[in-house]
Amino acid sequence: MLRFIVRRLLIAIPLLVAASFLCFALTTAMGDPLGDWKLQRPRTEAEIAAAYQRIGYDKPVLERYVNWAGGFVVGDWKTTVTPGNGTVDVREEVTRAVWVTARLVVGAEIVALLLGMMVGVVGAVRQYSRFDYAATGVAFALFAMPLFCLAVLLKFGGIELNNWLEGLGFGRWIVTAGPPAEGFSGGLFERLYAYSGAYILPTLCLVAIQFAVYSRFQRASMLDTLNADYVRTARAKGLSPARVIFRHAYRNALIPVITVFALNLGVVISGAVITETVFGWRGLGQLIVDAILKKEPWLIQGVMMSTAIFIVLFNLIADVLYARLDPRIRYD
Amino acid sequence: MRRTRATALAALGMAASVVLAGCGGGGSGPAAPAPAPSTQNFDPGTVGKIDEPYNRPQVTDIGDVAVTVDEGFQDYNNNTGAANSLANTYVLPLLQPSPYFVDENLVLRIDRDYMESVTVTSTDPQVIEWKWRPDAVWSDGQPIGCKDMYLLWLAANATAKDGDAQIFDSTPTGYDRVSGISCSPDGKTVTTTFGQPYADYRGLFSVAGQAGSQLLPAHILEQRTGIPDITKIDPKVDNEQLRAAGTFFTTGWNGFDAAVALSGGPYLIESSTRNDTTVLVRNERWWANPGGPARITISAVTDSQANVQKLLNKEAQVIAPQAESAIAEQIRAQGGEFTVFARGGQTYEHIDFQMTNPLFRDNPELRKAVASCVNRQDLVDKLIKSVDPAAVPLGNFVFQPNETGFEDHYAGVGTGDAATAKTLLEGAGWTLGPDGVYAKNGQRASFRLGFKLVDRRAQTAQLVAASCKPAGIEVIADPAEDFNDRRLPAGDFDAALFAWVGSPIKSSLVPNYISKAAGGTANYNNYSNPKFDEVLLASNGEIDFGKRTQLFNDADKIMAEDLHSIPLFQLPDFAAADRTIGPVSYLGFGGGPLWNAFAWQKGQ
Repeated sequence: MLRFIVRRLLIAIPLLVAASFLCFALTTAMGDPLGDWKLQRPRTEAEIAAAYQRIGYDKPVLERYVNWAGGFVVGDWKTTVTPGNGTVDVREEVTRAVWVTARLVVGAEIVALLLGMMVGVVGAVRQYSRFDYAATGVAFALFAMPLFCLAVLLKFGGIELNNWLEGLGFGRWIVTAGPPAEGFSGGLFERLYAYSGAYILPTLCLVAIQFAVYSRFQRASMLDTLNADYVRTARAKGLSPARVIFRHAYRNALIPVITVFALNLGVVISGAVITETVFGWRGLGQLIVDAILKKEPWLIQGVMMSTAIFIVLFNLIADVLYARLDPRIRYD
Repeated sequence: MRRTRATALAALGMAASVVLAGCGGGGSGPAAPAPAPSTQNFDPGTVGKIDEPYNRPQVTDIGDVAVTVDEGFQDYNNNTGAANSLANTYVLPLLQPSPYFVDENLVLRIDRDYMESVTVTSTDPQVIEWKWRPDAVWSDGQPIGCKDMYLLWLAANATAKDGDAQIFDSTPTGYDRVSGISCSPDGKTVTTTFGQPYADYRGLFSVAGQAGSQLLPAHILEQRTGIPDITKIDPKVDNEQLRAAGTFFTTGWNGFDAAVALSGGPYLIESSTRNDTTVLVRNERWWANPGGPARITISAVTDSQANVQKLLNKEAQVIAPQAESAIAEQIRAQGGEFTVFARGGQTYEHIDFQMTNPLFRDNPELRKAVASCVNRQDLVDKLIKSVDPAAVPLGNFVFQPNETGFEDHYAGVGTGDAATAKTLLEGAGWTLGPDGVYAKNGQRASFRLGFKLVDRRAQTAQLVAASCKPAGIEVIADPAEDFNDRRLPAGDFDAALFAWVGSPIKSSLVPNYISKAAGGTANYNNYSNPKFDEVLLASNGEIDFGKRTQLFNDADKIMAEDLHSIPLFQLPDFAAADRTIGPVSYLGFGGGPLWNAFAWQKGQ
């Protein structure tokens, strides 16, 4: 297994180099980072030349790539450079944003996974029951609903709930946009109240969408295993239904779901763009949107490379989990 | 509201009417009322006279207020090229001192909470005396005064470079005309002598000025760099002290650090998360009337719909999202619970003809015909009125309709009059071809209208093409994502649809319109008229406000006659608020929705 992991990590190096070059090419093709700045008001030629020098765009493209890549591998991800964006350290900014996104999505993904697995298993075991039909209907409805639409509905529900709570004298609990303020102080109950109010809507939103995915995967996978010969054999041997389901069927049915979960987590940690935008969380998703809108080259590179690293890493985790779940899989 | 020239002149002739900025302009219901006209001053160019004064009003404590803006505060020093951004200007006017205050009519008034006077003591050479109030101090108790002004002048005029880049990363506009600054022994009286006359001296050291005009606590720079006296540094001498000052100037005030980011205004920053949430509280050292809100929490929310939901959920009392029709209509539909402010802002759209293109250079009648067939009112009705019901077509390139000095020079232009357009073309020898497009000497009345790919501009181009087709003029939309980046500065277009950002500091528009030979670095359509150049350049050196206003209007009239550019409309400034708080409005120059936050009251 160790050899497998090392081999995969070594393979990831040329993959990341290729990804970085592709990202750099796209970032360069995006246009002139100073284009809008030059239009804000008249600039002298010297002023424009100085600005290009400051952001490093006075050098050839390949030289810029080499400079950036050399810095990136030793931890110098450069700073923001476009006028009006200050000189923010890209690595710090990406780390901050990853933390914001992780706080938002990890919990939601785990809740969605557990809920999805539970509903999927029950739906498969009681196939074509009322519960199964209801779960399937809800999952398809959530699949069909655009995330931003669900978010808006949840927010208006939250506002109505707040109005009702306020009418009862409890104050306004639900927050429609933004994470809890940094450095918030107060008693345990006050913290719980503030944090739950800020987390509940985006978490519900993410859970609803991801739950639909996981429940469908789990149900399909579980149906496959329940109809497999070895499960029939287990039943014929007289094992209890619970033992058949959880010991023999469920464990094998987990493989595709865990794969989807691991890959999905890599994607959402790289930025739940719509959720973050609609709920005003300035995580990785919002950061990449901002960076693209401002044509901030090194910030885009930083976010894209982080995304590439997450994807590679979570792919690896998924492969390792295969082996843990299915003893037949050997990598050595 | 469109105002005639007579009205404007009458307004200019009025005695200075003191319209407290904090007490007017809060729009309510579907549309904010147009602000009452105000005058700059009777004759500030006269030696010894001073401008109209401004004092912050006395208000009561209204507790905490939450505000959302589209982009969050980033850097305390907004004077460097790297940091300068609109988002910083939402916050900084509430804590950085400024000799002048911009009111809702874009009039620069002496801020009497800071200044005893700003006086022209000589016109040849131009000498301005700035007297700071003795009680004006930074939040650490150190005086606000000469050193702070000197630092900005030094930063703008330092000649030392790193490579091609000036070490203070600052622009010299205006400050390069100041030949020297002298300080009184107590640092409270500052005398600036100008090498060349500079009419926009009010924009220097001021929140109303361009990049490089926000005063910073120079004594902090002295403490951090070990420079004993900043005023002893010569900007033309490249030495260790100058470079140390440059390094601190460009790096020491980046982001927010409470130890160096002092306040000299009614509020100070209690905490700030870059581009996210900034909390302002009252500055205990503030000497004038304290602000209404005890604490202002400013959050960045980029999604317009999320802004509205924060307002509806009472998480925010004031919001300033992008001015979008759906957003404006949604808030107005809530009934009387919220107020909406929408008014033409400083950014204005226009169509420029490429004057080096023989089609437009040699055929003024074609320019006039296009200007005739374009239906500006229709554009305003379809693209702007849903946000700003009071919007009208733009009538002047120098002054906005809500500005003192505005005259409408384009009343008969852009009326969607296809018949007049045809008459103009036929009168100049154009004949209608079988394809329905006029032609003359092998040239067809057909051109490509270039613009950056933005929905509003695509719709504008579509409407222009539709209204000019009956006039036998073919307008082909030519959108490009990189239009503003590459093609516009290169002059690579037949006609261009884009926006300029106006300013109360009128010298800033000179390079947009003056001929390239005379310094028109942003004159992308290569307009050139010696008479126009002469008048516009004269305005730059005319410090008499009334005469200068007249010169600007004369210059604009020449442009209206030449019709090298068709003014379309202003993009609206937009803000909304809970009805219980006000007056809330929006000022693009210095503060956005927060420009008068100190004057907010409850139960307006």
